[in-house]
Amino acid sequence: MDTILKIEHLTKSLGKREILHDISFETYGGEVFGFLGPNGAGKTTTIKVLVGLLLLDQGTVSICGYDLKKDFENAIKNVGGIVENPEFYKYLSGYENLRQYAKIQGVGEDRIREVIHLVGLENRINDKVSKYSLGMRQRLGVALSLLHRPKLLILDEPTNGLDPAGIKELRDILTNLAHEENISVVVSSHQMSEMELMCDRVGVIVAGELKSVQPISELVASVAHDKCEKIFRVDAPERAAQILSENGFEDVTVTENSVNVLFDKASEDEITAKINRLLVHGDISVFNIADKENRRLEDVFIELTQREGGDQIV
Amino acid sequence: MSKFGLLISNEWRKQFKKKTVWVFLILTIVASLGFGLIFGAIESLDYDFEYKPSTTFAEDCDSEIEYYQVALEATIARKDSYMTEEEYQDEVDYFENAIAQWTFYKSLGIETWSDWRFSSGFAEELWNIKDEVSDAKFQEYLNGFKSKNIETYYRIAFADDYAQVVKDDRETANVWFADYCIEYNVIPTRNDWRYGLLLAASDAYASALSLERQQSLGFPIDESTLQKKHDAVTLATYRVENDIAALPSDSLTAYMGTSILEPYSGETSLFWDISVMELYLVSVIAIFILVLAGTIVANEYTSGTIKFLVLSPVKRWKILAAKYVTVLILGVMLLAGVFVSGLLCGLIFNASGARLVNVSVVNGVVKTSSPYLMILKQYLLSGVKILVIASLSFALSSICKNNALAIAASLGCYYLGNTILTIGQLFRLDFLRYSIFANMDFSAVVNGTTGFPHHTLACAIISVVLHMAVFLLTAWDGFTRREM
Ligand SMILES: Nc1ncnc2c1ncn2[C@@H]1O[C@H](COP(=O)(O)OP(=O)(O)OP(=O)(O)O)[C@@H](O)[C@H]1O
Ligand SMILES: [Mg+2]
Repeated sequence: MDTILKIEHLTKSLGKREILHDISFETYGGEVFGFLGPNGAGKTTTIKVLVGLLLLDQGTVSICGYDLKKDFENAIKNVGGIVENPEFYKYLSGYENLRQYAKIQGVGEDRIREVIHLVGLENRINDKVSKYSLGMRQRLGVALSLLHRPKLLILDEPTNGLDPAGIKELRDILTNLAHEENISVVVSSHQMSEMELMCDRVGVIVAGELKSVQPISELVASVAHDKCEKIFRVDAPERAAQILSENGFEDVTVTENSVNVLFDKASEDEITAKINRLLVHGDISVFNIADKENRRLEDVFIELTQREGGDQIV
Repeated sequence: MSKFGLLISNEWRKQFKKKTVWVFLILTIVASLGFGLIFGAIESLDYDFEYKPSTTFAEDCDSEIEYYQVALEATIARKDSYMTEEEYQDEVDYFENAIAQWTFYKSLGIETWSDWRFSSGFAEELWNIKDEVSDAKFQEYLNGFKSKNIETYYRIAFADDYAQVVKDDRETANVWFADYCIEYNVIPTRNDWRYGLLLAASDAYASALSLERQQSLGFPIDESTLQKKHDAVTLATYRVENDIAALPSDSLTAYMGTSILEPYSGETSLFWDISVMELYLVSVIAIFILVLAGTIVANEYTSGTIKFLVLSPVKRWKILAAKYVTVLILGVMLLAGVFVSGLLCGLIFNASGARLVNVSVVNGVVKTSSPYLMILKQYLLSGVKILVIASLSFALSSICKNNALAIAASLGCYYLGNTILTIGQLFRLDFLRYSIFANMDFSAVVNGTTGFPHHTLACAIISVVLHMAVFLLTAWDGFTRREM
């Protein structure tokens, strides 16, 4: 696998605020890299630096071996991308928009047709962009970014506005591009579930700092599988919770007809039995013991990104 | 095609896909053609219109005579009310004289009031000298009058000048004038363009004589003034001798009062009048060009399309330059459109004017020049003003990313520049002479109408070049350095 994008110690300030702190990662041809982070984390800012809309303060970025700062033209030739929402000349047709860009990029008619086909816009390509839906604009944006056959394709929240079928199609397009044409695809998002299906590796960015870079499966496993939660349906949840906390259980939540207990997954069976004994000894009727549903990916995401920051945007 | 050419063609396509652009272009064409057609039609109507009185000259004489007759009778009837006999006699003499005078006019065989023999005062001169010359002489004059002999008129009208043995400058000039008019059979009426022209020339002739005399007496004189007087005379005689009634430059001078050209000296030609009128449309085009310059960059920001535009292996300054060049091309096209519409309308109403050649005399040498170049120069001068403000608009829209601001500021500068100057002058802010408002209108600078003394064209050109440099550098800096 060849390195397409290499970011080293990227730092960026806008105004007085330092938005990005010392970010380093690499992406490779043939993979889809997910760039995950909550609102305001710095995803868009990072992408803007990568496509040359912002200058980098410190650190180096190289694309296909060309330094973005020293060799901008060669570096940027290999980049295609959408930053934030894809915006077009609304009074031009989708085709005209593509043509405008194709001319500057030195791309011919055939390639325009090819990318239109790729994103499935053939039927509506001659309509004015002002008549496009958000999803259609996203598709057009992808088509436009792909015109000049970039080695690095960067998409900022591309699934925004796509319907489930559209998301699946986009996923297929992107995985295809990566796996068949050996392109390095970078996709930013704050939707874990999408990431899980689309990405090979994920970088998590929180408040301008890159927390981790790892394969998606590891990421999900690392957060989701060290604890488990059991639901005890009982006749007196309040009293049950009191008994449990007296016996050293910390993560206990009370609902109308049950207590939920969170504990280490390692000794799952023993602890379940122990809790049951405690409750029965405490004269509480236990009707049912169940696993709480596997913790959802969104919870993992929230845990990952807001563990320290509370719920305020940083 | 080169990258730059492609960029320009991209801009071009974008502009011409907009309805507003088309609407404006069509409006410009309609306005310039319509303006020329309406102006030409009105002017042509004027030429055909002639006042036709319902009575003949003889009838009018009769009513004059009747009027004085009634007045005379009334005087006689009120004889007693006069203080003295003398007063009464004066009154009676006056009325009798008037009756005799109108009877004389009636006998002359004049048909209309506009007969040059009446309007020039020929008839009156004749009446005045009636008793001063011998009968034989008077009869000779009368015959001259009746046969519309022009020489007779000039001999009588300038009799005093001819009679002087030692003539002063004015008298010499008058004699020259009369001789010249006799030679070329110039009818003494404003309807003959040569008459007014030669009258003006005779003034120049007199001034030249007087200057030369001062010179011969050893007084210092302005050589160039003397030369100009001689040139005016040369030009007038050249035109009379070559029968050049209208000069295209007269149309310009008459309408614009610009001293870039020689002073107005005769007939204008409708062909060139129309072209000159079309020049006023330039300020309408200015709106379009200023709006275009103010939006062509800022719109990329407001629509967000700048992101794709700069994310391409094209240098940013080239993108900016392509936009600027697009504005320039459109501006020149519009100016050319107005110019051509003017010529077309001119052809419809006065095709012969198209062949007129401008004649001027410089240092005694008669020169001919193309009026097309002359009017083109006027368009270029107005173009300079638009260019300067369009560059300002362009720069503002590039640094502020806001088209409303750029448009408002540039339209303000274009249309209120003179007001700002006037207000500044009220407060005696002399430094305003270096501002762009005082300098961008080259024709005003040349004519000295900017209101600042000693304002030279060189100074204006330097100021404009400096301002343009600042505007364009600002635009460049705003576009290439800025983070998006
Ligand atoms: N032009 C700017 N000037 C100053 N601060 C900015 C500017 N643009 C963005 N920021 C700040 O930079 C931080 C990162 O913003 P960024 O747009 O990169 O977030 P993001 O990860 O893309 O978020 P989202 O998921 O909402 O798109 C935010 O705190 C934002 O307030
Ligand atoms: Mg963002």
